[in-house]
Amino acid sequence: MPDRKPLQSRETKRERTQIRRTTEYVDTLEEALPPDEENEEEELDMEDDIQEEETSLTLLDVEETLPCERPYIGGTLKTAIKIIKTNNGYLAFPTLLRPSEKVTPTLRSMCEALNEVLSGYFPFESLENPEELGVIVEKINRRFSLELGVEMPNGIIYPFSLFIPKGRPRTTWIQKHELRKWIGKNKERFVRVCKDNPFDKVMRTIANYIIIQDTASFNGLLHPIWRRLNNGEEKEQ
Amino acid sequence: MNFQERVLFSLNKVFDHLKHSVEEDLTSDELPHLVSVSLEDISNSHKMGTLKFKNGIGTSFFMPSRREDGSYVVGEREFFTPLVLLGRKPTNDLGKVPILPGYYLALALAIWEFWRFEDLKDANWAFKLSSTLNALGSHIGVYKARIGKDWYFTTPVFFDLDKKNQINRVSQLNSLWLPWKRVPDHIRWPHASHLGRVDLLETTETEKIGLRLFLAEGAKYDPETLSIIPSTSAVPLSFSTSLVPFIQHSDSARVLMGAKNMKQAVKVVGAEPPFVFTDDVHTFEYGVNALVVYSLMHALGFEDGIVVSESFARKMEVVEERRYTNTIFIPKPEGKVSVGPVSKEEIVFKKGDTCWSVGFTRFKNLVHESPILRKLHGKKEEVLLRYPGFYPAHVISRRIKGVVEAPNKKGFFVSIEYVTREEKKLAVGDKLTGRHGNKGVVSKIVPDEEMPHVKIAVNGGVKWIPADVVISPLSVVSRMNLGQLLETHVGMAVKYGQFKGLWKPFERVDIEGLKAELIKLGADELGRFVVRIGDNAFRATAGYQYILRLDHCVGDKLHVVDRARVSPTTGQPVKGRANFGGQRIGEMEFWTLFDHGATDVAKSFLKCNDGGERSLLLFKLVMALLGWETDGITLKKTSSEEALKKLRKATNYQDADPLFDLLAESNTHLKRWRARVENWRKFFKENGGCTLKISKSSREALKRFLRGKRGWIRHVLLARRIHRSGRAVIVPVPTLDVDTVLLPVEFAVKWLGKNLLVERATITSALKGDEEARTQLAECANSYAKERNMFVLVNRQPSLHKHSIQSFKARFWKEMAVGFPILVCKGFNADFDGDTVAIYMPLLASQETLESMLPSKNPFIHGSGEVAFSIDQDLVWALYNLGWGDKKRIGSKIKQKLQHCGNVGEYLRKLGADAIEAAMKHPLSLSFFEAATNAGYMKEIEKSRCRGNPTQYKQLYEKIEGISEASFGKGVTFKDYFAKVEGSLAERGRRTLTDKKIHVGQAGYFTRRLVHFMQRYTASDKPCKGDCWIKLPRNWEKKLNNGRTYQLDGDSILLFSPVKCPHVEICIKALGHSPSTGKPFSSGDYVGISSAHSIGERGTQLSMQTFHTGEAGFNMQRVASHFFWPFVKEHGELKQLSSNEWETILKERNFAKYLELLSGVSVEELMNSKKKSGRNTVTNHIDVLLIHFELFFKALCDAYEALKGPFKINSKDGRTVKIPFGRDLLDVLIFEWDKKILDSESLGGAQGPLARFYFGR
Repeated sequence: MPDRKPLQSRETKRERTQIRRTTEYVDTLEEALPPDEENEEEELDMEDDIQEEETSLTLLDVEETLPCERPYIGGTLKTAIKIIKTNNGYLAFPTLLRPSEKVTPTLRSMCEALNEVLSGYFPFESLENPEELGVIVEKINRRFSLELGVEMPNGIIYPFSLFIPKGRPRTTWIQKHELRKWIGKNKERFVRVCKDNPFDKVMRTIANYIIIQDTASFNGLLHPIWRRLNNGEEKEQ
Repeated sequence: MNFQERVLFSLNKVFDHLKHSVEEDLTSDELPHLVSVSLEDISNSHKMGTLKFKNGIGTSFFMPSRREDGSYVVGEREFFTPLVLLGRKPTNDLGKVPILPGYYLALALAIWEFWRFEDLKDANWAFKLSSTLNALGSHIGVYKARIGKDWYFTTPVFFDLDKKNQINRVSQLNSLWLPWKRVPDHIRWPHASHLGRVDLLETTETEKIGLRLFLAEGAKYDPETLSIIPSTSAVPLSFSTSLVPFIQHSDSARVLMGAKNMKQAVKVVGAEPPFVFTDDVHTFEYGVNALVVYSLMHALGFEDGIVVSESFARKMEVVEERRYTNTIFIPKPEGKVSVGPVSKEEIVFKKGDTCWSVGFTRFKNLVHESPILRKLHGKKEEVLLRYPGFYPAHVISRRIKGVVEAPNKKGFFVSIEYVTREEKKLAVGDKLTGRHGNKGVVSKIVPDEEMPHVKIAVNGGVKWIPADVVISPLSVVSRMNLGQLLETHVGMAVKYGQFKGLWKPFERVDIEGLKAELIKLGADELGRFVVRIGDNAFRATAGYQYILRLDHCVGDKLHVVDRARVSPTTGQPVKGRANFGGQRIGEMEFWTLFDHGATDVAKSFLKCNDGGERSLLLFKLVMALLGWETDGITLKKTSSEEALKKLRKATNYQDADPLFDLLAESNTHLKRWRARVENWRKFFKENGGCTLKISKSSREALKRFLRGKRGWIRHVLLARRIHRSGRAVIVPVPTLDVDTVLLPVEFAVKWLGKNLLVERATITSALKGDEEARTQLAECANSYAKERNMFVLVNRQPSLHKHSIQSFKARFWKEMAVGFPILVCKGFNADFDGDTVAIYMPLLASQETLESMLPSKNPFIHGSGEVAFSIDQDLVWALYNLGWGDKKRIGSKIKQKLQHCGNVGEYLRKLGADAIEAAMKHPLSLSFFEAATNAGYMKEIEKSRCRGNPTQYKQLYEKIEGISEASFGKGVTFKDYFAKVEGSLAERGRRTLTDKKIHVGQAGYFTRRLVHFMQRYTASDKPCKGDCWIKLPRNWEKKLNNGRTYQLDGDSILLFSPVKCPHVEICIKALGHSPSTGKPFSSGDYVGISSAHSIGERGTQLSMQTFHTGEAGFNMQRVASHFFWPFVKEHGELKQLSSNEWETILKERNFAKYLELLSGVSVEELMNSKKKSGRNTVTNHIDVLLIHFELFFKALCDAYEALKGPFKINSKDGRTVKIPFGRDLLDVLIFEWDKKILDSESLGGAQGPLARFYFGR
């Protein structure tokens, strides 16, 4: 038993620091309720439902949390940026009614970063998969990144946090971001290069402009685009 | 001007207008001035606008494109934006103020707001403005803009456009809003400027009545002058109103309802264009041309019930597409740490899988085949999704609407949208309507053979055709919508004769030609055909009328729970059908239970969830924070620290801790300052270990938390939502005993559950809608209910008096509506045009209490002593034909019988059965020609008085007093109906409905004041020793309830009255018998509440009657003031009694004088009406028994004594300012007599029985 004690004390210590932190920064952590319990309940509820259905007649009688008490679209997650399909590509614009002083910097940097990436998109690409949209924003308020979301052209809303890597961005993300930015600025040239040349040459051409940190992952990003531009999609299928 | 110039021009014009309206000195720098606006199409659905201001700043924003019909599309949704009047003061003059589409106005206001109130030098200014303008492009709802220092203006932006109903869609695209919330009455009435611009009839029937208007056809919005150009049409009506045929023969109130109802119509499977149509441009296919017979039919047509045939019911089926959204939680698999988004393929379910099948609970299981979900859930392969609908449905398609990562990063919330197809068969309780506001619910679906058959001569032969629909002829008389009768005749002539045409509004019908055509088809001189019901043949009106089905299906309204879902915030069941919530027993419902003396029922409702402990504890906590020590009954002022410490000692910390969270969550102000709540929590937790900081603003927030209608006290402590409750539509069941209701089997399944001795398969198929199984289930439930003597409480809101909640013996039937005995309609003030009632199941109440609440045990109205049963319509007609005399005589005869018969229920059952039989032997119908010329059945109806009153009869065939020389029979001219606006029929209709909707609220407030004023008085069986005799004029003798002690003394009576009784508990001898039961009061009865309720109920009825009292309008406050401090006439002017005289009356307890004053003024005079013709005094309108006035006067005198002086009345709003009655905590908190009272030191303790009841242990 002797090794349990330090573990326990470590636990309580962490708890204590947490409490201290919440009391200290409570003003900025306004809405950061401890959510763990809520979700555990949620999971239990789902199980209860299934068991109830199997055993008894009264499914209706199960108490469960209301939809309005869960995080839901339009409630805890607000549409702050909207992406629409325009005649020549995609465009992201802020749609927050009277954005506050606190939110504005986050919103602005997110909006600019998104547009940078979006200008690199091609007509053949669709925005259905949000992971395509990995963006790197230097300064972002983490809390807002959970609460504010982007509405895709198909109406689905995703929180900012889905597009922004947590902590230090991984190399792949950085590469992807750089690539998209470059394509956005040099769209016509990129298409021309891709269509006329083999993949190796395309990569070498781009390498003149972007610092490639990890060749393998960069290839992985560039190759599908090159293939699609050369109608390789059909061949593959 | 091109479009861009127009936008620039209008925006600058709005800024100009605002500048003149803000009444502040503004320099030109403080005002935005746009130099240029450019708009560029950037996609199919979006435009990009660029704004440039005069100082060089510019910004760009996105706006949705407008389509030709005026609608907007954002994503997949369609929107409309109403036109709005822009002005500081409420006005309905469309010619005076600028009018703008809501969206453009919102843009202008947002620019104005940013320019004036934001920092222009802020680097983010343009970005923020752009974000706001972008947001407005998809903002659904209203936008509240700050314009001046104290002027906020609310403007609508976008609203969802109706996709189902074309008529509603047209209305929405042509809507005009008056954006003010509280307006004087006359703003809601039609204005001279409305003619040609907007429709004078079409408006909503909600509290927004008269504030939502609709453009007339042909009227156009002109963006250059910011006004509406009137229509040039001779008969400018809105699309919806113009669809009502023969407007000139119908009363405006009903045409208004007709126009409104058509907007709620759903397309049925047998939809066809109407035979009688008013419009040759639009197509109109929603309902069915039905063969309608106007006749009585076993009293099923009582109060708007409708009998339909089986073949007609099949035509009226609806197939509907609906969208449902479900949110599921998908946990992240263990070990996989990446935050990468869930790709769509992983969640979406495969196409074509059979996912929903109707299950027992009417929820459907979704069996998903997604490998990732299977992996996540281990063995289980099912995720249960709730199907919130009631009717069998098939999924057509589904898609993911949104994915949100759970805050704890353990998974995702995925909301999935389903499109389903539902088949809704016509069922008993569904709402149908004609086009003349003649709405009603289906009371029975009868096989075609049993329907009345109509004899029609066609092609030289004779045909007997079964009717589709039977409507009661009596439903026409009091509503004065003769248009429906004329439509029926014309429909018949069109279908079988040569009578063809298009009947535009106000176009004359060739009445003689129509008659001739009908005679050819076999009708008599009065347009009536031979109709046969069973063996009985008679002449009746028959013909084709266009019947629509409304989107109020009985299954969508049926809701019952056993254990409702509980809200963690209040500890009570939640609200709403979709949330599986419980019904609410509000303050008024509790008072009604007190009227019955049903304290055990009330107590069981109070205790039904957490026993009220938690909500009471939160109340104590807030009071402690405010520096009050309280247990609900006593109150002591201390410091907040002391009070919190004491509360901590008395309660468990564990119980109170979560309440701080609730406190922080439930109040927006406190939410913003969570740190303060944390400080209070810390103080409480450590029992004074830190310093307690409660700022002034926090105190205000805490007080706001307690106060008002939505405050903790009135919303949560004094009212409850309860488990074991339900709600359903009512339909008439004439054969039913007055003490019984028939409940849908769903109630049996929920409430009796496992006690039902039937197989599960039967229950499943019964709930799926299988008739046989439902019948079997009902039988089984009935035997159980009979054996256990099961009672339910039925409540129809508003609960105005004792009869609004009554107990019934519960029986079950296969229908989805509640079968209601027709005789109890009067007590509930119910009719069958879609009314719903709440049903409660009292578990802990005693049998005696429940039996005493049966209708047969309360045969008289508590206030007036009149019979509480609906002796009306079919019954009066039958009894009149049996030789009982007219309605008045029948009423008094039955009252006498009821007073002396032992078994009220049995007597009424026999009477009802006899009457229904007699009504079938003595047929009744009504044709247009009869009503218009006062012939045939019309004369009989008038003689028997079975429906309507002489003013209404006169309007049908003679003339419309004060409005038109013509009658509805002859047809009103366009001038009398609309064109003269003031004094037109259209205005009368609007006024009638406004009074009904708006003044009821005022009357409710009056009742509340009365109840809290008189709640302390109860009955007691202790003999009273005081000198309780008072002298009154002899003419009040007829207003005495039975069992009173009095002596006649010449022209006066000596009455043993509670007026001079010194106690709060009043001796039974002084009270006489209870007016409703006819038996003596028993000790502990809440006579004060009952009397207050009775007076208040009459006040409500009074406020619903229309008084054409000139510009002043009806004002319940004046009536209330008159009660609390009477007015007297001095030199023809009304003044409040002088303070000295009033004091003398109260001091001497001079009840005779008070009565004289009370009845000395007429209602018209009270309203400051220009017309002084009114002879009806206040006491004639509020015609309650004398005992109620006696108790009220006693309360007044007692309050005077307690205060040692008269209480002041603020002459401006007639509100009592000084607390007049014994410093009851409840009164103080509820009425907010003085907003500062919670800070004052002089508060006493709660004393009344209400407080004892709610807070006592």
